[in-house]
Amino acid sequence: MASVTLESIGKIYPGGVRAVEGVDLHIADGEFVVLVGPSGCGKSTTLRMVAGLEDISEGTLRIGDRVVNEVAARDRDVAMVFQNYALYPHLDVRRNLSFGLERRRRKLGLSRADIAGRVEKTATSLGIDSLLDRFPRQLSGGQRQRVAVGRALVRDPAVFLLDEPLSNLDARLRVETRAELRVLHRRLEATMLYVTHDQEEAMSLGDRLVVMHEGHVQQVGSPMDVYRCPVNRFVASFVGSPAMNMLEGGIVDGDRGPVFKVSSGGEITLPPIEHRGPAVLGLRPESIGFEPEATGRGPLVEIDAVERYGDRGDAWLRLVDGGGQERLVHRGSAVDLPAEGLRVRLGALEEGIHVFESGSNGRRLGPEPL
Amino acid sequence: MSAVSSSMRSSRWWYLPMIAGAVAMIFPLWWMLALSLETEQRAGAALASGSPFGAFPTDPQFSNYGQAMEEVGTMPWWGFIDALSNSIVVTVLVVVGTILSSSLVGTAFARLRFRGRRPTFVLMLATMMLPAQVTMIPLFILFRSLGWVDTLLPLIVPAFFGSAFHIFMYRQFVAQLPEALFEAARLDGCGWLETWWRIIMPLTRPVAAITAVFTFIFTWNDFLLPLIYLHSEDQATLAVALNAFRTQFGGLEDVHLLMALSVVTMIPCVLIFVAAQRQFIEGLGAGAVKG
Repeated sequence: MASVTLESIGKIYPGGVRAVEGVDLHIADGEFVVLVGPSGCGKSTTLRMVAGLEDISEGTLRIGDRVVNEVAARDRDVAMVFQNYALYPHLDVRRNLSFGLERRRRKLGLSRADIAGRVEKTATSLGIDSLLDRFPRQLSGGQRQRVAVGRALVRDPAVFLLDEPLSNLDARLRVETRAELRVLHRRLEATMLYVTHDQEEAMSLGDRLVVMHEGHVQQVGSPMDVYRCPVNRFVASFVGSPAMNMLEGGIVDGDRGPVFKVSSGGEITLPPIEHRGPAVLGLRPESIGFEPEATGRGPLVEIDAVERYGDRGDAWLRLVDGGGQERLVHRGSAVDLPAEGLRVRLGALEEGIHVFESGSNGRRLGPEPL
Repeated sequence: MSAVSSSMRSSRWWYLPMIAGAVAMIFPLWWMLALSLETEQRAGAALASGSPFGAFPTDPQFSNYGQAMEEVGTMPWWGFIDALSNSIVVTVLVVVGTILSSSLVGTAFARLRFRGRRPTFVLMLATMMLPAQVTMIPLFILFRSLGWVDTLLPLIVPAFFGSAFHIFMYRQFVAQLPEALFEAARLDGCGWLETWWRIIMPLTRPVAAITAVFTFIFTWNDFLLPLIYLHSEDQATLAVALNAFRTQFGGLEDVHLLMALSVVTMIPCVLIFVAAQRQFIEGLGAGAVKG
């Protein structure tokens, strides 16, 4: 196992397209780090640079203490799980697993019996020992996925790289496999770098998240830190599902401290914050509350639709004033959701309030996290 | 009656031209087979009568085959054995050479990013448009200066430099294989050559089968090149020996033996086609990736 250090890593494709810029990241030995972002944000390119499948245009990449910028992929001691698994179709599962070890047999000083033993052990640990004599085409999606993980595992590499390994599984299997990966990581204490566009997957798997957007790292932190204290509007909207609600307006002094005046009407009391003037208010769906139309001071909303998922549910709200086009979402316990068609005033729980600079990707201005 | 059954009945008439076409295709083969089993007199009579149905071996002479093989060349049996082994050596080496070189070059065109890849590829394709007759004389001069005339080398060595058509086929096939397979192989420790040998060669078996059959049949039956380069009797391939056999017996006198030898010459082509047929159908790409 080894740490991975990226220093000002950048990627410029021939023709001048810049895919990644100035990525600084230290992945500690045994850490599970997830690169997350929308498609085209540079996360896969970053992973592929670590793997050695893409040349590094700028910066320094270290695996352990060794600078590996110019080291060939096969000599970096990394293993990768591909999105489409990339199993060798002409080899059975046993030989798919042993392929990498066979190529390194002399270098590692392994006998054929050693390799067979390691393949058996890995297969047993993943529950695919009964599939060893089958070919990839005879396996289900979930089984192929396990073989792909096994192929990386059997090599016992310094770093595991996983490129959206769950995205081809159906929803249920994905959730199950996610938990298994987490258990696997705890058992192996291996350094893992994982790429996904699914923020939920990222939140549930990573020790730390690296949120990327347009080739730049936006924020690095533990899933809960990123969730509770997103550094800008992009991270705030990207992490969390349903996405954070955003309201345009400005901060003024009220009777009992700062107040956010929504530009379409209504106001929301804020926790202590220094900023005054134009701003964007971010509200997590689960921290939206309601007040009666007559007594509240918040913006007036109408409940457009209510969706219940058993234990919890979402209420889709529409701001009545200011054109009535802006949509918000509230998440709460299924039994407490307001009725469709009701008009209420919006309130907010303090821990779910975020204030950002106005502009498309404004910085977070406060308040201080609780 | 319903429209369906009447249209089915009318479509049956299409079988007539198809059957006629099939008969026309099969007739020369039948003629060859029939004459090869006739006695000398009956074969000669059938030929002289000019009737296409003149031959029907009521008393098949299987000994014609042995006699035909014995009489190739000046040394009994050895002429035939020489020609057969020359044909086998040339054909096998040409098939192996074409598959190895074409797959390697095709892989490079499909997977390696190198400067001038497109123009080189177009240039390679352009050589397909060049008739073989155009290069015949320059090639002869080249091989003569190498001292290769009257050896099998001019027939074999060019195959190890690829064939444009098969390179093109390999390129198209390899380009369709998922990129992730090659990346997985790279991470598993394969260099380009090893990836080609361990991943691409097994996955392109259907292309190899097509290449093998085409190349085999073409090389086995090729008459022109061996005729140009091979002069001595012991260097002749079967196709050349067959021709010599015809002239040796002064035209059509021993037509039954000529036909027997033709049948013998044809057998390997039929066998290789049947053997490779399964490969054409089998799809090996299935199961590589999800999809």
